[in-house]
Amino acid sequence: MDDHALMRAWQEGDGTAFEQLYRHHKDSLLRFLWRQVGDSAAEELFQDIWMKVIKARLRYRPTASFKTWLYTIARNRLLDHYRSQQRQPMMEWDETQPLLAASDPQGESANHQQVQRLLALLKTLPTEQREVFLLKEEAGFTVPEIARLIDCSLEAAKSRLRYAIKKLQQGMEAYCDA
Amino acid sequence: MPEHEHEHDKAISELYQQSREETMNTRDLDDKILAAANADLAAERKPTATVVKYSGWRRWSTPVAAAACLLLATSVGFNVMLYQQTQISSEPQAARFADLAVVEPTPVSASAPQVAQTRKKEALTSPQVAAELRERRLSRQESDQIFEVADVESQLDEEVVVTGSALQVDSETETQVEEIIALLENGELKQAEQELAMLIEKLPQP
Repeated sequence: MDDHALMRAWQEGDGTAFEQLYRHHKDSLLRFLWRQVGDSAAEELFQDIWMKVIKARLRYRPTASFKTWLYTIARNRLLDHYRSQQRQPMMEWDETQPLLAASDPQGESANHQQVQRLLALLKTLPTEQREVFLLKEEAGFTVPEIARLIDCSLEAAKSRLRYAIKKLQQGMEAYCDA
Repeated sequence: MPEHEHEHDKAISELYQQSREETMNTRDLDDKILAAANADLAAERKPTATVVKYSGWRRWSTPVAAAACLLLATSVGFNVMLYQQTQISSEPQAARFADLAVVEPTPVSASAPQVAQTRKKEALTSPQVAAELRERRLSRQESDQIFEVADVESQLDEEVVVTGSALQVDSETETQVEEIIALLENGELKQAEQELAMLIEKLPQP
């Protein structure tokens, strides 16, 4: 069954349909949050988001896909979180940041190190760029879908994604050169 | 987009996808969220039964039924009296009396109180009644019976005077009851409640 059918079954009182929806989307959503706010806050937000989904079950209308609906709720909750923290969520690009501080080059494969390097670089991206990158790579949205979801123009969404990738490339090249 | 940029994009994307292979232990979160979803469904089933129990129509069915019964009882009571009056009028003595009593036929369009008033006055006070009786040399017993019938009819007429106005109220009441039912069907409970309260106030006290 696709998400829409599962959602309809859940609206009609089928608890197993929700479980399938949850298991289908939970990992991507949790990683999407993790990569933006860190572990502990991500788990709290993750729980809140699913609670909102549960409460809004009967209000859901299939005007958009379930995934779009879920990530719209997630994004709104994330913005609330940033507001409540009253801090600028984006971390400015910092060339001196020890990107591999957490990694152990001797005990890990080169590939794993590269992945860790990429994740560390991701944290340094401006929030808007990181968000677009994660919506594409983690949630699997297309650029037009991202533009609709975050309510910006298609060009703006493309531009953010391009800048994000460029910065990640530069960081990876710098790492490889080193 | 240049070829080399596209390749870089792919490389970054592939590298990121490798990061997604890491497993996450979310058992506690899963348990909490799935339990919350099940609790929400269970909580929804309980109020559904309550809603059915206290649904609009069920809530108002008793007062409306009471009002309808009262209305029916009033209507039936009035009809019985009319029936009795018809029965008495159809008896030979009463028919004879009617011939004597009613000098001129009352217009059909006259209202029930008017008819009653006219017939009462004419039946009991008209000197023609006595004159006719004397003329026909009726026995004392027969004349008593006639006056007995006249008394019964006059009583009935008085009741007609009373219930005639009640009949007028009943037709209004019936309209009101229909309006209340229509309001209930439309789910306008508040207005139905007000209409019903007004209706109960208007109904004749026993």
